[in-house]
Amino acid sequence: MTGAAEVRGGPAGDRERLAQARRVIRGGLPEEGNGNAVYAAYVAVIASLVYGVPASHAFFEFVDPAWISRHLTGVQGALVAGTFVAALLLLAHRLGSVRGPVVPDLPYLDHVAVSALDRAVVLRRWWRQSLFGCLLAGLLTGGAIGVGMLIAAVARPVALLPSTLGGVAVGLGFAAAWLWGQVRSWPTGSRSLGTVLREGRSLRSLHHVGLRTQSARAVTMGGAVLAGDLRAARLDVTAPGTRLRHRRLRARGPVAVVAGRDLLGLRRSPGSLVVGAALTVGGSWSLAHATVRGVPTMIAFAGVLACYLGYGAWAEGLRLQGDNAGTPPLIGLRFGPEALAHLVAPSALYAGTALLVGAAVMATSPAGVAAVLWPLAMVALVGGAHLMAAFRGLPPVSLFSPGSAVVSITFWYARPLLLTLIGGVASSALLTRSGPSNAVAVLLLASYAAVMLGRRRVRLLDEAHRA
Amino acid sequence: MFPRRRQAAREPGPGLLQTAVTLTASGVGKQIDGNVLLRPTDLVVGSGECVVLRGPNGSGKTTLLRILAGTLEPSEGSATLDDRPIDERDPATRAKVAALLGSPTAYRDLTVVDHLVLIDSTWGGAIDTADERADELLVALEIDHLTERFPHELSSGQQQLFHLAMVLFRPARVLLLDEPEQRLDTHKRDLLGELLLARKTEGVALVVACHDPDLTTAIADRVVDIADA
Repeated sequence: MTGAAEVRGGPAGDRERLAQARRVIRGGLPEEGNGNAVYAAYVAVIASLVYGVPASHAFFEFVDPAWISRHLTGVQGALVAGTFVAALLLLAHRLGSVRGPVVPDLPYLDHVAVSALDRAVVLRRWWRQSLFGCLLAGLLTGGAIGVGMLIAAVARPVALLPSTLGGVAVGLGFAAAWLWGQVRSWPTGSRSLGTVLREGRSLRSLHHVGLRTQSARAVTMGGAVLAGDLRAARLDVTAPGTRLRHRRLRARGPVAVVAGRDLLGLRRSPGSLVVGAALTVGGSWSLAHATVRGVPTMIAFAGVLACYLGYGAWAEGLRLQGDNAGTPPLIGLRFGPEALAHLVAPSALYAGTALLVGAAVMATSPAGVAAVLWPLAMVALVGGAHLMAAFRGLPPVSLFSPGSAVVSITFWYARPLLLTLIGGVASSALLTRSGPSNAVAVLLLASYAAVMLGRRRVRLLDEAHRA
Repeated sequence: MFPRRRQAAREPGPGLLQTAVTLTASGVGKQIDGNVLLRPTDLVVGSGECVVLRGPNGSGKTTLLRILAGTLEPSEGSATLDDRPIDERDPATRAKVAALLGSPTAYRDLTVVDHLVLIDSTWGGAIDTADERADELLVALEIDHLTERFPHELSSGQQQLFHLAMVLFRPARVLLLDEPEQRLDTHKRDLLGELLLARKTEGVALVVACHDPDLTTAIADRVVDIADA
């Protein structure tokens, strides 16, 4: 009777009932308000002024403004910008299926979100925080780009307006695609285009189980990142595939069957196959153009980065072997040769793509035969770097020192990428500035270092469990 | 870069796998930072013989199996296979010793049967008959209906049978199994006992850590009690 009386005398609307629930969760303490969000925004503004604007300025100084105006204005510029924005929206949509903008903590989901309260009211707070973050990030990025262009004298002051407004628009699009990705991650319910940027509809479409999965994943990933264990985060993010189960792995020789395994794995993960192809095509295209005198070094940088990421999308077999290091062997190949066998499939795919793209560039531009050979010549460098990356194991405990842990662990993880970028960009720059012999010598040296360091990492990880 | 013939020449051929083996542990023990994982233990196992290791949790059964598999260095004593030190990096050890110690390597993007074909191919199995032999083993373990499942689609008991299938499918003269009966129902435990007895008859040396008295009675020639570490 007492309970019923309390219910009758309790708050009537969803907002009031939610406010009461939040008071209970806080243990009677006053509402903190949006102080944390305001402080985060304050830090973001300071960071964009201190780091963003100088970086943007340096970028536009570094990249030849005349080359930009020749190649990235008009229709070509619109195409490049459109492709970039489309890729960003696709990324946001994909991100939403893994970790959306609406991820309350587990107790809140289990005790408040499952109640009869309107889910749009219950989840609104998290969505609006994410939306605010996206808009602010877009605003600051657009502003920093605009100011950087102004300081570098690449554009007039009036360009600041479209760059800032464009940044806000992209931020809004990113938030919309992010939430839509989260809505569509649950296979049933209202998930059509009609839910995009419709706050109430979208939030009511979010399923409790889906929210719970994402919340638990966020906790796991947070722990993995704090511990420097990106492998755990990767395995948690990438859902195991179920495609092409009827297609069997064909028996072959020891190395060929490992390469066949990797190719079958890629066919069962078409997303990785397509992403790897898109990145390798783009990277090879950039590297082929970087062989022409006068093309900014930034193009070679973008090319090497894209080639590294593209090769990585195809090298899942290599990473899976690294994940399983230390277990008793079932495969008839020794650990080292097995790792090298896992390089066959991504290297063959990379080489084929680089050759085709290089030939296409040579046929359609003033680039010479170097356009065909140069992207192809990067294969040992990116392959060796991925050998280093797949078998790097966990960062040493000594890196987790107070004060510098984030920087030192980031550097520890980025070593394969840094080696690739330094070797690839330096050799590409030398190619057009001091001749092919110096460029080839630097590339050979970097490739040798990457392969040797990679093989050393394989050996060390293989033996690490024997202590 | 990876000549198949050269690899085959490095690994002992099928002929060598038919020979008798003797697995010996002489006073092997393991300590890490003063913590005793395994007290000094002696063990000799020959071809066609099955030794069951018994002991309370934490007595060091798994540690002994890891030393016998050559994946862990003993702190004292020595473990040999035909008078050669056991080292998983040694191709001769790898060719003769198969072990199920915890969860073995599994690829998330391969089905159950793909794993068997992959393992068989890397051990130089006959290419023409790989599929048939893989199917036969899955039938023997009564998991042939799971052929096209991915590892993450298996129940815990099915996972255990899948792991056993992978270990049993590769050629070996020594079989080391750490609680192979775990998560299996009574019928599947009987089935496992029959398969292990068949391996014993083929001349394989078995060392099995086991808590199931029925399975122990069915397969053991000797039972070695491991003292609590």
